[in-house]
Order: sequence, then structure tokens, then C-alpha cells
Amino acid sequence: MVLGAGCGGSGGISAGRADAGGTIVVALAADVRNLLPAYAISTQDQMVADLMFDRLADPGDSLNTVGDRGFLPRLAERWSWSADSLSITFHLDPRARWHDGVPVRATDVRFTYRLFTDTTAAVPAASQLAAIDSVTTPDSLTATFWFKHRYPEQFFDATYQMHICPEHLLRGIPTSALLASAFSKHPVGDGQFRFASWTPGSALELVADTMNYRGRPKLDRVILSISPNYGAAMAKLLAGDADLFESVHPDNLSEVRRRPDLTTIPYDDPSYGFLWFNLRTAKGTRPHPLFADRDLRRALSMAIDRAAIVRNVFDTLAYVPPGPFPRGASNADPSAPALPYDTMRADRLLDSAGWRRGSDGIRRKGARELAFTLSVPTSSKTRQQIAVLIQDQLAHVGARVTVDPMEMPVLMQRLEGHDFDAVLQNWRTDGAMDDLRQTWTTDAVRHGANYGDYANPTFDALVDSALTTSDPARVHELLHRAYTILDNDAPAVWLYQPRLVAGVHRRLHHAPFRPDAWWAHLADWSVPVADRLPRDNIGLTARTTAQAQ
Amino acid sequence: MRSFVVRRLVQAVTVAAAVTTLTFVLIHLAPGDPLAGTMDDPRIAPSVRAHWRQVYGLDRPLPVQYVRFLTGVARGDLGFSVSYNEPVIAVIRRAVPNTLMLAGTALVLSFAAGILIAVIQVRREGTLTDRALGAISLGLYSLPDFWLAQVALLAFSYWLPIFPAGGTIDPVIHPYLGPAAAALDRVRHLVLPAVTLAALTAAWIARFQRAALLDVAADDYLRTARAKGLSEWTILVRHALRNALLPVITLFGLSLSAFVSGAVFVEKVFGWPGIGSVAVDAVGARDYPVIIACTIIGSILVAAGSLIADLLYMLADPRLRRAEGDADGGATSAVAGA
Repeated sequence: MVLGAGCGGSGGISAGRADAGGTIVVALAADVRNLLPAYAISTQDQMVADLMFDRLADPGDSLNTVGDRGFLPRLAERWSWSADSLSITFHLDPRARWHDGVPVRATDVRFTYRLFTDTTAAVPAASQLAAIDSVTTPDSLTATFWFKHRYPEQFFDATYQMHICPEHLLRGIPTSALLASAFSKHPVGDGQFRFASWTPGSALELVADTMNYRGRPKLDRVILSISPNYGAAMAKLLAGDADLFESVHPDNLSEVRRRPDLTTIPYDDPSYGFLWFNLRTAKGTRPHPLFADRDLRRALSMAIDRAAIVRNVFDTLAYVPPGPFPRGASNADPSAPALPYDTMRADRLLDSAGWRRGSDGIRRKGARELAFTLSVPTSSKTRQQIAVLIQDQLAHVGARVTVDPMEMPVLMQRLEGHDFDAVLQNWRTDGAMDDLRQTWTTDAVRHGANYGDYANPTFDALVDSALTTSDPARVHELLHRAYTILDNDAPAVWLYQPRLVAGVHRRLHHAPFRPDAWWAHLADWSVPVADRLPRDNIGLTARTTAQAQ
Repeated sequence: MRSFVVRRLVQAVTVAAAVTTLTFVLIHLAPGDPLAGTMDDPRIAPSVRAHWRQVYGLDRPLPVQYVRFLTGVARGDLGFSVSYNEPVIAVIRRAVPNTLMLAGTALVLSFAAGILIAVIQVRREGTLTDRALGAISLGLYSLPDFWLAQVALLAFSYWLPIFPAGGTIDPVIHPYLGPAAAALDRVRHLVLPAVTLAALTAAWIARFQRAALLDVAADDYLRTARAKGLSEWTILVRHALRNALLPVITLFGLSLSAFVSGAVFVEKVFGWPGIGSVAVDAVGARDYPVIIACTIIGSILVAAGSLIADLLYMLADPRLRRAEGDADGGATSAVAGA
């Protein structure tokens, strides 16, 4: 393939930095949905938002969410807390510029907060900003966040939940028209990569912002090569058309490892998978005939060999989590109690609860059979495999499980309607303690994602206390007590925290993969000059030249 | 002829309206909705989902949604795609050219190859060549398209990497290529999906065309041509083929819609962002407006294909032209007489 005029060499702007240059082609198994950071929901959307837009501060590799320890300056070069901790003042980096050259100002911060909390905009992250009362701008480079109350994660909420957006480009657009606006197709950010082009279903291109206040990225370009499914994305990696695929299935790992030009990089996924019991049925109006019984849930939990499931399905690429949290999250408690795998105890518990085995091996209590449906999404091969293993393991204690695969929209509708027996679910978290409140407290039955209708006032109180306590030791103690209650009540069985494995081209010198965003250090990735492929040498001036032609 | 076309167009609009209505009802009856799939993050509050359901009118009764949809269609507005976050018309406008390029190329390739194979088979009737081509055609005809697509991808993108693994262009270098190199890049990406799609239909056409050629082989005019001393190739191509093409011409029109629908799996395997790929994704995401738009396009293509087949047949066969002309004339006379 012959490149057009202007494509040769790494001249032009690339030459401004000795090690600058190179292109990374990232294979995506699904399209980017939109380019507005406020509506970035999928992983792909979040990647684009993170690369093009900066936050006030970044949690850094520690992924701490409590206080401001470990946070790195971004748009805010420094910050200060008020004496009563009810406000945080951010001082913006005066060098920060939008990609159209306009300086980033405090009014952009205030505008972003107002946009994210505008009820007519219905921004998904709005509920995480509920404790922020207002944002004021004492001067053009200072933004002060005022909080309704003190809590450990207030700095995290003020910084992590919002990518700052340009007021001068979004101000006149009604919130109802944001998603269809020209900005949503051609956004102007302030991050180290700037938008170049997007052809939905095909590719999205970002290029280095050579004048960025945080410095020029080492790479010239990031191409997100969009495929409609996993198979097509893997094909691109194996054919050499892509340099990175973020999640190679265990089935394909040996194939990737055999390739001399590819390497594999395992990293933690900030998610956890679990078997979720529905405690109330008929859309939450009455107790579930099986799972309202705590002893039954505990018995079934003890009948599931989680370690064997993880070994069988993931080999070494997953952990058994002790609770509803991924490893390294702020709410993680490695010492949280977990019901053991003990089928004899499970049998005894079921016997004592009056569940008697019939001639077919299935237990019954009166006319009711110990049988339920386990829903799984058809999009997850992993969860379908796990469902079959659970079906087999529970059969040994006399439970009949019917695995019901369904499309994700159907599954989500069932969850929202509290209309299911049990489901295999996977939650991706941002590592914050607040995740507990949003998914497991009584309040979350109506206002969050507690679709299994688990409710325990003592658990709620402990979580609320943990979320408002600043002393880390005390927080740990409160969470440990909360997890003990959760373990006793067994509203779910915590099954796995996956480790992802990325397939990466060896010529790329990569920075560490961060669990919440493998691309967090993408600006530090590089391609040594000696290893460069033709696509690495296109340079930044080529597009302008080609377009001029 | 004109009244025939008008009649067929009216039929086409009726069919499209009926299919669209049926699709609208069925897809709304299916469990799940567009937001259930796109806002599955536990951190999204139910109130946010409720807000967006209201914005998209998904909280309204089905008849109200249908009237809104019809009103929109009447204004040329096919709605807003929840999964693409843009007007449906923009999604369709982007996808249709890709599908037409793929289906059109495959259509031409398949007919050219199918007819050529049939001619060779008839010329070598009863020989090993005839039997081998017949067996290959039957084999290809029996293969599922998604399987052949995956094998082609594996063979020519991975084992023998001479073609790209998917997409319509190389996203890395295409924007920087000159016009000739950019065209070549498109052709390289088109080869595998187009040949895959064409191979299956070529086999079918070859079998059809071979039978048609053999049907006319014993006709008098061919005997006359032989008596005049023409070569067998000339007799076959200039005389026999011309008459034996009539049934295949019908297939040409009908294949237009078959290619578009058949391209669904091939588009998915090769990551070709065409209308088939869009339709499959839309069904998975319950993106109602996009599904209905794809249905409308499918209906139009079926009707257009059928109309094209009829017109081509009339152009090729003077007897049909005359019959249709008589029918028009008769109708006119009847009206005049009344």
C-alpha cells in the first residue's frame, strides 16, 4: 500500500520530541456510543472521554477514593480544603487550553457541575453528585465546591465523576439537544489527545495534542478500530490490523501467546460476578416463595464450590471475592467472612428447614419443589458456563435449577421489574465505597440497583456510618461488620472477580495497566524508532496534507 | 407499461406499510426496551432511566407511539436512535451505501461467475469438468454463508494474510492516502466479503443457468446455426445463452433483496458496517426506530427487486410486452366505452 503525499517520515510536529511518534490501533468489540463525557456509560465511551477530556484531579494508580491521598493534579494544579471540610477550592492550571485554543476557566467547572446535575439533562452520574450543594467561582482560575455534608469520598465525587466540559461550546445547546448536537460528533476537549474523526461502526481517531499543558503524548495517534463483535475484533489483532485488544478470552490465549509479535498483559478488572437471589417476587410486592427464607439462601450458598467454578471457567484468571467488591476497591475487605463450601452443612440446613428429598433426588417441602430459574445473559459465555456448573452443584443438594439464557435488554428489564428468581450478574464498579449504598442498601431497592430486594436496617446503618466516617480504621471496622451481616443474610453468592488479559503488539512500550482504565497512561506509551511499522511513521501533518489534496 | 409500474408501486407501498406495522407491533411486544440494554450500569439511578424513557416516548401507550411514529415517517423523520445517539436517517444514510457496494458487487460477480460456469459446463457436458464444476456448485450452494465467511476470514486474513480482517477501509492509513491508493484500499477490503457472498449465489445461478441452457440445446434455431457452420462457442454464447437468460434475468431482480438480507451474516463476520449489521445490532439493543427503518428499507428493496425482475423480463421477452400493452389498451378502451 502506497501512502499519499505528506505521509512519509515522522517529520513535522512529531519531530518536536525525540521519542514521539507511532500509532496504536486498538481493536474494539463494540462501537463507541457517544462522545459527550456526560453520557459516557460504556467502557468504550469512557476511554474516549478519558483520553480527550481531563478531570480536575485523577485518583492515580492507588485508586484511592477516600480523602485526596494519591490524587494527581490535572486541570487543578492544586487544591485546598476549608477548615470545616465543607468546601474544596480548586486552583486551575493557567496553561490548560481547550483544543480550540480557548483557556480552561473556572466557569467551565461550574458549567459542568450544573450540566451534570440538571434534571432535564438526566446525566447518569448525577446521583453521585447529590452531596455537592453548589460550585462557585471566586475568580477565573478558582472553583470552589460546596458540600451539603462531610463524607470521606467528597473529593473523589468532585473530581472523578466529571470530565470538565467547555462552556463556550455547549452553553447555547438545550439539554434535550445535546446528544444530537454537532459537539457530540466532533467534541473539543482539553486532554492529551484531541479528536480527529469518527465513522460510527468503523473507526475513531484521536491525535496527539502537541501543545497540551500536561505535555505532548509520545504516540502520534490512537485509532479505535471498531468491530461488531468479539470474533471480528480478535481477527484484527491476530491479522496484525490492530495492536491491542483489551480482553482476550481464555480460549484464545494460547493462540495469542504463540504469536511472536504479540504479548499478553493480565490486569485486574474492577468488577465482580455473583449469583443474585430475588428476595421478593411479583415485582417486589410479596416475599419470594424460596429466597425469602434466609436459611435456604445460606444452604444454597454453602452448596456452591466457588473455587472450583473459578478454576474451571477462568483457570488462573479470576479470584473468588470474599464480598461485593473487587480487589483494591476502597470498600474491599479481604478479611470479610464468607460462608464455606460445605455440602454436608447445606444438606443438614435444608433437612432441618423441612426440605425432603424425593425419589428423583429433588427436595420438596409440602407441594413446593426446590426448583428455580437462573437467568443469564446470552452475551456472556462465561456466565452461561458458570450457570451450568451451579446447576450441577445445586443438583447434588437436591435443588433443580433451570438455566434461562436471555438477551441483555430482556435481563435488565426483568431486573428492573424485580421479576426473576435468581440471576448471574456482573457489576463493574468505580471502586468507591458508595457502590455498596447504590447496590445493597434498602434505599437502593427503589432508587438504586438493589434488584434482589435485600433489606436489612442494621446493614444500612453500618454502611451509612462507614460512608460518613473519616477515620480509616473505623471505616474498616464498620464495613467488616456490614459484610458479616451480608454474609449471614446471604442475599447473593460472590463468585468471581475476573482478571482480564490484553493482547498487545510487542513493539509498543507500554505503561502499567490501571484496573479502572487500562488506557490511563496511554500518553506515556511509545514505539521505539527501530521497531516502527509504516503506520507509525505517518506523522501528524499527513492528515492536513491529505485533506488539502 | 406505465400502469403496470404504477400498480406495482402501489402494491409495494401497501406491502411496506403492512410489514412496517407488523414489525412495529412485534418488536414492541418483545421483552426489553432500548434503555434496558444501554443503561445497565448499577450506578445509574432508576429516575435517570425513567427520564430517558419519557424523552423517547417509551412510557406512552403503544397506539400513541405508533401514531407518533407514523406522523414522523410522514414528515420524513424516522426517529432518533437510542443506541447510536443520532437521527435514524443518519444511521441509514451511512449504512446503505456500504450495503449497496457489497451487495451490488456480489450481485454482479455472482451472475458473471454463475453464467460463465454454466456455459463451460454445457460446453463440456458429461465430461469430468462438467461433473467437477457441478459438484463444486452443489457444495458451495449447501454451505451456510456465516460459515463460509468465517473460513474465508481465517484462510485469507490469518493463515495467508493477503486480505484485511474486516471493515470497509483501513482506518489507520486511509485518510492519508491519495485517490488511487484509497480506491485500492476499498477494493482490498471489499474482496473477501463480496467474493464470499457471490460464491454462494454463483453456485445457485450456475445450476439454474446450466439447466436453462440444456433446455434450449435441442431447439431448431440452434440446429440452423450449426448448419450455417458457426462454431460451438458462438452458438452457445450468441444464440443459446441469449434465449436461456430469460429465467436468470428474473433471478437478477429477485436477488437484489436476497443479497441485502443475505449480507447480514457476511457483514457481521467481516465487520462491514452495512444495513444488515445495523439491523442485527438494533434488534439486540431493541433500538425500535432503527429496526423499523431497516424493515422499511428491506420491504422497499424486495418490492423494487420484484419490479426490476418484471421489467427486465418484459424488456427481454416481447410476448410479455405485447400482453401488457394489450391489457393497458383494453382497459383504456373499456373506460372510453363507459
